[in-house]
Amino acid sequence: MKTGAREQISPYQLIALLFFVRLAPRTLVCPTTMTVPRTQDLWLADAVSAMLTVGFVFTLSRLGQRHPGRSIIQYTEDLLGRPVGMLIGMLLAGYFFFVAAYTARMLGEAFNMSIMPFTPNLVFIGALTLLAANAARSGLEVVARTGEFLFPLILIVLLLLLVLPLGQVDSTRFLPLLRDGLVRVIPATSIEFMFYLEFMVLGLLIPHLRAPEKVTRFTVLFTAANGLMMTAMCLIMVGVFGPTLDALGLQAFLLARMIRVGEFFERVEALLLASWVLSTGVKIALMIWAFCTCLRQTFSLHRWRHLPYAAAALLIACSQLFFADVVSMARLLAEPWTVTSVTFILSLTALLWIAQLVRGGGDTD
Amino acid sequence: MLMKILEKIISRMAPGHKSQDPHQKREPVPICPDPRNNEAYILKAYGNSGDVVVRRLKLASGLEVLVAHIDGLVDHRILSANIVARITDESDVGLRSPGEAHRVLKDRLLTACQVWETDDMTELLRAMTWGSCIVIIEGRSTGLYSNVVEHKERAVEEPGTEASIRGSKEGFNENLRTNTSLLRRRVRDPRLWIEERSLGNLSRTRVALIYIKTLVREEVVQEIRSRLDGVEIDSIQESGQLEELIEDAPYSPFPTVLRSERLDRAVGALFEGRAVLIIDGTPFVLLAPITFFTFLSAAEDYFERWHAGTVLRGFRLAVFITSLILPSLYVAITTFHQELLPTILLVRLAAQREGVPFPAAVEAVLMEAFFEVLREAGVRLPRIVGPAISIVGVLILGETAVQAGLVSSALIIVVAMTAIASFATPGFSLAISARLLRFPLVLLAGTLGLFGIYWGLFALLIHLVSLRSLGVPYLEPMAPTVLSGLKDTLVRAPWWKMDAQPELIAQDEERVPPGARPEPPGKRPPEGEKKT
Repeated sequence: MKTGAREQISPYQLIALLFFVRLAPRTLVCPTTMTVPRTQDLWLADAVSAMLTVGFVFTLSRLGQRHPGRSIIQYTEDLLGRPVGMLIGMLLAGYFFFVAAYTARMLGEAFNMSIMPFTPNLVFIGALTLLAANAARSGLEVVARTGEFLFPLILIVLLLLLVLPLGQVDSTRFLPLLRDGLVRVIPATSIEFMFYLEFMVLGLLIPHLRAPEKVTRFTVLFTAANGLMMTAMCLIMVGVFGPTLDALGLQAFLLARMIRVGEFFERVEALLLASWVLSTGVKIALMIWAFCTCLRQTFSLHRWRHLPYAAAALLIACSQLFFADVVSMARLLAEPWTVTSVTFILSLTALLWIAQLVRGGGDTD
Repeated sequence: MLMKILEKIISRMAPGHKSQDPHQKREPVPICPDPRNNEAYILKAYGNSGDVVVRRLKLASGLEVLVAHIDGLVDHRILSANIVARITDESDVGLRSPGEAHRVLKDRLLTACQVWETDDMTELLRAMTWGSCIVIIEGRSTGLYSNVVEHKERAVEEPGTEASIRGSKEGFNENLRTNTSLLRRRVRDPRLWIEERSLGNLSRTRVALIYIKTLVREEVVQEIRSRLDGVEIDSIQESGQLEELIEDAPYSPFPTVLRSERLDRAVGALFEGRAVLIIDGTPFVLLAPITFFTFLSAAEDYFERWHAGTVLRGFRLAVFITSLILPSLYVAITTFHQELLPTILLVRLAAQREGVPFPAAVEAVLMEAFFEVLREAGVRLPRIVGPAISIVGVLILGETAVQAGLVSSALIIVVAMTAIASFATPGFSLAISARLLRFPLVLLAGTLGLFGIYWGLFALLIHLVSLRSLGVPYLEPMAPTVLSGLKDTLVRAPWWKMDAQPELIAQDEERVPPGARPEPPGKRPPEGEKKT
């Protein structure tokens, strides 16, 4: 695995990587629908969580800017001491590993549920994870360039999904809004926020950014735009499927299947399948890279060339062991994992911010 | 990882390979003052070869002069008039001492274009192989040699492998000097620099590294120089050999150096800040650094109007992708994803495939392999019987295979479309890569359907983004994104918009000044007023 100060990525590559991080849970198996009593309120969960994420990304970016060339693990050590830094490093490694595991499982389940029900999901997970490990081993630049190349192509597929089903949207399906009150939307918002908190990988990416002084502007603008897009997609799904949405496992896939323009433009789901494989591949590669980087920085490893492959092997096994089936995976993500990860990530960010204020004396800009 | 394992296996398979110092030189062989000894040495060194001509002439003063050359390599008119006639000229009767004779011959009498002096017999023998005539005066331990080479070469013709409708019809030929002169005629500027060297311990093939000094990046030239210095091989017969010895990714199926025999292509590359390598004995020159998209562009993109160039590039990209994945898409859809087909087409395909004994993947691999054999036979066969084989292969065997129920007619159409698409890719090396990669993709499609194809394409993409050509990322300007470079990648911007050289390849030089866009007289600013 190539790492180090020489590996640099551009702001555009950073945005592409973050885009793929958020895209996978939105277009693959989405557990959020299980927790909302009224599907017409679902888009609100997306919108609110996106707004919260803007604040989170802003904080994380400013922290990164205060510690140029240092990753979140390194400046945690600087601010809170070596033992705490090591602990945080291990916890973050576990966090990124778990994200990679459920992302891989989501893809496997999605292929099982959509087009290849008889092929064991281990085949999809194994094949893609090994490839992602190979990309992660080639270094962050390779992962970033792969994401950069795919970003416009997959964005086009997403825009097709947003625009082409507009004719089938029924506006009456958005009403009545908040019939059970705002409180009932909080669990779904937490789940969406949990997925958005995967942007924590930013803490490892900022030191590699070619123009770190622009990171806050870029990431905040991107998060806002991404939130708008994801909310719009949620709105379209609600408008097309209505109350049946919570019963559907693969909303994006079914949405793509419904697209038909004239008598010639149809079968868009083949493009969505491509975007599943490619975007999930990039995300898993990034998460494996993040996992290995956490371990490398925590334990000051000098030899880590085969670590991504070891991580991939472990990840394939854990993607099977952690989740018995798609329902148990959705439940695990919706309840314990959301509470754990949101608490962990937000506490860590808040702790670092306070420590920065105490040690660094506030905003120096 | 796999590459490293492969590398280790190959290095272990090479028998008795020992590393040698590439700069190791032989000991010089002294020249004997006695011409008879020198004559014997030369004849022995060449094994009394029939084409080696050694003569002992006498100056008017009586001193013996040994003159030797290789018949067939020298121009006899120049040899007779500028060397032999001068030595045997009766007027120079005063040249009694060997030293004086040597000096006068070198400075005044030998009137061929240039005369070199050496005390090493090996160098003289080597000079003879380049078409030089050597001269050794009795009593001297130094010799002279002069280039009297006769160029017998193929005329400058239209390139056979890269035809174009518009643009220059000049292609390179096998003679290095002719090729360098062709470039000189197109770049009439002293900043066109040519560095020459010999490669191949036995063949001593001349190789010229050519670049425009102010456009090429110094690190690119340094890198090429160091790679050429590291070449250790007995002979270089074709640019493909050198390409394999200097390319960035020797195990990659994708070429990282472009081969071309078109003069305008090489000149265009020079103006984009690339370097050109010409190898004596082959019309195919090497261009580097290049990117993936260089292979999808053709010389005439720049000569036709920009709209046409842009649309054609789009088509070429589409046909390249077609040539890569069409058979695998057929296999995946007919085997796993029939729901993606319109009902009528599905029914027809099912009817055609009824009775075919093989799975679609096997059927596709067999037909693709059969087509490759046919193509190979077409290239090797004499031209007279070539068309006959095509008729037998394509019409008779194809139709009979369908009638016998061995393959479906839809697959024949797919294979034919794939073949046509592969011929439409301008970069032949890239088309070969697509041909090779088609087979694993078909097998992936046959086992994992669309997932297999997407997985294969993802693997290819990861490989492509990790490739570099002399330090330049292979997918530049798409990954990494270089906005200025997009003007000449998938689109071909108008010439008045091509204001800069490729950013990561060339030095920052202005190509077209601002305000170069042509406008009708009414809209033009007055004379002398500069546009901004």
